[in-house]
Amino acid sequence: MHTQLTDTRDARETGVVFASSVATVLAALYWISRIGFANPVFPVAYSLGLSLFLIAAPLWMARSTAWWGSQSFLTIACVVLTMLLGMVAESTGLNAIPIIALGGVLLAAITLLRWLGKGTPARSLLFVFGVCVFAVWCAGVIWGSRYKMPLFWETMSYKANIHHDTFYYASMANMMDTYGVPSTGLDGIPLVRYHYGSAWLFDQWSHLLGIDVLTFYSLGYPLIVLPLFFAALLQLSVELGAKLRNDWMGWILFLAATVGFIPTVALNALAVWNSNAFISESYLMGMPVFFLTLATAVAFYREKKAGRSALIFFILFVPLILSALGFLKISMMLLALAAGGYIALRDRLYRQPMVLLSALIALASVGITYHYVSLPAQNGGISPLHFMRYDAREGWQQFFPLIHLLWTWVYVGARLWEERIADISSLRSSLRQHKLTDVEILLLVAILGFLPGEIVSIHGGSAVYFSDVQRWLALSFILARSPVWLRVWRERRPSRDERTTESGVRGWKLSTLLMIFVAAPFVVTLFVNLAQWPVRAIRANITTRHELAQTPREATYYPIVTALRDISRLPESERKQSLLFIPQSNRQYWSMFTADGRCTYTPLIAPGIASVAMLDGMPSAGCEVTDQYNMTMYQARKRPQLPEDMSSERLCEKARAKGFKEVIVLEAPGQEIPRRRRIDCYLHTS
Amino acid sequence: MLPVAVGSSVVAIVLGFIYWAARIGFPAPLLPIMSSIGVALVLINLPVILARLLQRRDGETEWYRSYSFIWLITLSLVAGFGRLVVEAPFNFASTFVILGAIAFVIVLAGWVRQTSFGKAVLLIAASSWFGTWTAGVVWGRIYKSPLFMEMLIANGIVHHDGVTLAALGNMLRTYHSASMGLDGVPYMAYHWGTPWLFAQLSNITSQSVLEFYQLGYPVTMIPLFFGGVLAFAVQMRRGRPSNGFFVPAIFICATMGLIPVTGLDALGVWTSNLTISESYAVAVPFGLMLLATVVEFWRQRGDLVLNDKATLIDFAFLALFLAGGLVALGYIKISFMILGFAAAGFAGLRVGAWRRWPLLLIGVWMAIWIAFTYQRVSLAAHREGIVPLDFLKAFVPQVWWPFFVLTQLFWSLLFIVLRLREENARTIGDLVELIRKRRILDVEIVAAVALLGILPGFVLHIDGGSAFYFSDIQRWLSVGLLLAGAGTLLPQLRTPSFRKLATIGIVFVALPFAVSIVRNSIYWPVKMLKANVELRHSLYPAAERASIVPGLRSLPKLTNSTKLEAGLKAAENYNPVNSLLQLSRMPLDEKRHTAIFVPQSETKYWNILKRPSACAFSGFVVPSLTGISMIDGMPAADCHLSPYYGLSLFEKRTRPQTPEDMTAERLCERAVRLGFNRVIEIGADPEGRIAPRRLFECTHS
Repeated sequence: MHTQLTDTRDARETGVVFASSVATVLAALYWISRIGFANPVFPVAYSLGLSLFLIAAPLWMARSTAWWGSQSFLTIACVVLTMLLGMVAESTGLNAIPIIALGGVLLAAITLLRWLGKGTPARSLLFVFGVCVFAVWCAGVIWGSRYKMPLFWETMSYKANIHHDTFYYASMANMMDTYGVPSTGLDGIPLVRYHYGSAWLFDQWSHLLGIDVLTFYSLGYPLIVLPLFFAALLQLSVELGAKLRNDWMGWILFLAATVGFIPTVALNALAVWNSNAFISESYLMGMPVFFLTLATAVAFYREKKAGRSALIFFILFVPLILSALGFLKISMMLLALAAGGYIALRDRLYRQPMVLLSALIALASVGITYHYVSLPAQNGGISPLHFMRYDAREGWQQFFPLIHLLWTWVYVGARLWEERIADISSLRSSLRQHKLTDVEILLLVAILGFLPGEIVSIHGGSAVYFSDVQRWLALSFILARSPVWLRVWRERRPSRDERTTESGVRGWKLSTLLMIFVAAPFVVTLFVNLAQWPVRAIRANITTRHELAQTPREATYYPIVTALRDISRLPESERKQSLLFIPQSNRQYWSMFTADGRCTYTPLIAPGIASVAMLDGMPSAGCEVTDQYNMTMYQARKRPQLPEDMSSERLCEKARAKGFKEVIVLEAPGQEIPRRRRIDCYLHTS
Repeated sequence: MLPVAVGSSVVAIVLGFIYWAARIGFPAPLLPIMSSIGVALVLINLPVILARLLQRRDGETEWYRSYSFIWLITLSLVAGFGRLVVEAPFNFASTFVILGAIAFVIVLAGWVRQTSFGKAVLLIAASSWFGTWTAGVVWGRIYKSPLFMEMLIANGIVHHDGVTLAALGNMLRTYHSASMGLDGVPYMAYHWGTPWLFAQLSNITSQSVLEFYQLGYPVTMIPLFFGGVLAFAVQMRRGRPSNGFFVPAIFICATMGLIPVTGLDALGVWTSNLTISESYAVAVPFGLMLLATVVEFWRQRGDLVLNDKATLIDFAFLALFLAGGLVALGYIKISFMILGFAAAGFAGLRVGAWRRWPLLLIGVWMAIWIAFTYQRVSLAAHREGIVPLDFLKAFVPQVWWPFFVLTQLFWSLLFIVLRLREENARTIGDLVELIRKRRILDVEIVAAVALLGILPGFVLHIDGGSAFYFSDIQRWLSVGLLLAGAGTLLPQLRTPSFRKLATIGIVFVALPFAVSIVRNSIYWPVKMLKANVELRHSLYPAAERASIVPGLRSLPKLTNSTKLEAGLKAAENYNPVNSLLQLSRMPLDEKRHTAIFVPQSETKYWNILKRPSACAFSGFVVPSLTGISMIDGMPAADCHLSPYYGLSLFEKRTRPQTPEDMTAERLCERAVRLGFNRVIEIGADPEGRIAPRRLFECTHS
């Protein structure tokens, strides 16, 4: 094995132990949260197995220092492989998940045992314990809001108190699955523009795991994507030099940056949104790929080997990964392009024809991808300092650049201190000598990520998905550099003998006591933050159980949800040629989101659950329809639905116009059990 | 001291001007405004002039020549003068306008000679900016307002504190009794020093006590508060170098706040309460001046007192001046007396005063007086027992609890850290050594005041967040000491070099805090203006109101006096308030034997105050507006009464008022028992207007 790989093996193993521990704890908590309900073990076990495979397998597969043999590239490859296996499972019925899951568990277990054997048991166990506590916090964040939850179907059936974003993604995933078209399927399947890559990927993974897309969002996504995100972040940090094991300062900073050391309300007030990072599937899937891409690029850069390997990297990998990033999260593609472009300019790589060609292909690839994934409605036009003004709490906006980009400033400040750069001229000199390329890249990502939200109005605070990237990137860089900083600090501070002459209590330093006194509230807050989200998730779970126990099924949305799920179980060949029509008179369905004023999003539920597009599925005429979520692709209802609109002839006419042969009608006037009726539009033409 | 006096004077003038501007469109007689400014200028500048006149040529200053001592004497003399002229046929308001102007011109001339043009402009501009902020703070909430009376008439939405304290002040002015005057004038144990002071100052500023709370108090006392902190710092500095950057920076940060107001509020560090609580705003400068005088005394006489070489005057200083000062503080704000006595006791112990029997005796003497004063000023209803973490539970969101001590005691901690740094203390051992050698007595006293001040809120239930008035004292003490020592505690700032990355970093980090200060400085003034606009808007005719969008920009459109007056006259409270104001013009000697009775059936009166639960305070409207006590003035039986504001001293109504309760015999019987011989019954006339309806002359027989 190459020296580079051997040197970093322990750190890589630490990263794997960290991520696999998070995945395991999340799996256990999911299963525990469902005790008392239908709680099959296999979906949880397979999800965990797949997660462990993606985390641990690349470690064992990495055998070369070439970029294509790097752990990071192999992780991307494993993602692609499992995605392909999902496609195979769907089309052939041959599912490799038992092998993948078993392999994942075995490799993770071996990694853990090897890792435990290398360190002192107490420290290793303390680390694993700490990771488990952190994983509980992760579980709280990801399951503590109404986006995803272990009792997803139960909550949906009881009061439909689920965030509509989940159905937006699920509807796109289902439409791609059923019809092969990215659409939300509210009235036929018009093509939508959005970064639907994660929805498509999750659809393939849900096939592999044998679960529906919505269950995947609450089970598979947290168990697979969140640990993968941390695995990727740590891989990048290792690629940049992190030691990870026994790096207590690095891990304290890691905790502070993720959990927060000031109260969550204050973090929210300054638009440092912890929950958003974990809730947004596209963001959380885009970021690991972004980090793995950077790590692969670092591996490539380190090796600097010309030839076929470089050719493949520049001509194939770079354009493809940029496009993939665009489909996962448009912000990632743009930031990665900017970072790559900067390096090419900074190191004058453009003088190499191969790089120039790569840049041209990459630009074309990004341009085409942008066309497919950019949703014009999200751009609210020029609005100076929009994100800072409207998404930071009134009165606190001036702190936004300082706090929102805090970890970037921490890294930049510490690097300047490390390099003893105290003035502009020494900074200039260091820049000229390329001593601060890492700082430049981070600042570039920070500034470019900061700008979109401050120039244009991006709907729903989504500017955070540009500006927040720097936090995680900075964290990765900090983890990589923290051992160096600690060493330099120890070297630079005066020796103990010079510092104090007294011993015992009298020798205690007042500065240390002051530091403890000042740091104590922040430490306490960190622990409070650690508990806050899990407590919220537990409370929500208990409340749902309590409410379900007290409410008869017929008084809930259980019948309509069951009817929609039954439709999703129809053969795909049948669904493929059908549209679903739910008359406006079906109050059970159309009232699902009205309790909290979300009538505009109700149509997303049916395609999200039933995996069939709707026909005439826009909300009632009185409902104010949003211009987001690709709703403008459809015509808003201008008048109440009439009996003529619901006749079989009229429905078939509409269905045929959209290229469909069948209409499934779901009727349920009042609180009755929904009745499913099938209209064969061939018969109606004859 | 000259720049402090000039700055404080500018703040007083700005406050007076803003009061006048805020009343454009409403009657705004100039004399009360000018005389309030005049009194403020006298209180600020006269001690400076006298201290300079009394200054010895060798630069040494005995405690009785010190600015702080002269300040205390001036305040006492002005208040005493107010008390003397309460019934004088001559109005002294104009005299104080002239006196104040002369004093200010003398100080200004002295200062202009010493300073450069640029510095002069900067100080006046900064003081005006600061004055605008203080105006916003004091008038930006419903406690006090330039349009207080109009608010009372227009919608009855005023804070009951203003009404209740004015009632107390009026009873002190009319009957010389600390009472709320709801049913006669029984004594109320309360720190009634400021209502008494304001009653006296209202006599020389040509305004009623209630008006003084809105105009006189802000203009005269708020500049004294902030000026007092600065004056304390200047006196404590004693020849040490100043710090051109950090002195104003610390002062602005400590007053306006370094982080946004919402953040400070969340941490229980309140910026507006300083000025809302009149007793606190008076107690801070009074306490600091008292401390400065004591320090001055101790510097000169301390060794002599401890070494058996003290004179009788020295002991008299401690036994009379210090003890009397603490007692006076108790009447102004009880928290100051308690902490002041504790600090004095702690200092006495630390310097070994207990080894000297005269000092021990003085200590006992002081303790007796403090105990006696405590009984006289502590309202039994306020002693509500032990409730752990009461202040935190009531006023600080739980997520911020861990930061409470750090932020609440921030300025004390900063002072302590900088002083220890100055003394080169690095370890616990060094600290112990410094304490042993008594080199950091200032640090010890600040720490003691901070810890003792923060304790009540942690342990006791003190109504309405008043634990703040214990825990906040350390802020002004430590800020004063920080300002005094800024020259040695903090580095002298040289012209920053923006070629240094550290400078750029510091500026970058400091920038949001600087922006916060600027935003904080307009936070309260904007609130004040908005409230002013909203009231004017509500008074305008409905047809015109519809075309004016209420907001700051609409202010110029809302100044028509005819329309505003018509709006006021149409308001529900206009008639009852106006008829009570007419009664206030009754001569004092008549008022003294008169009581007012308002039957419970007169809902127009009993509903003047409109805030939720305001019924409990409706009885205070008569004493506060007329200066006359009520009889049988407790609210209706079904009204939920607060135990505070002296309400618990009067008998709670247990049944509805009956016709028999309102007969002339019953009313007279009650009036005579309470010490009055005349009762005016107020009620609706045949046209439904509230006015004096019946007059009962009662004899003692």
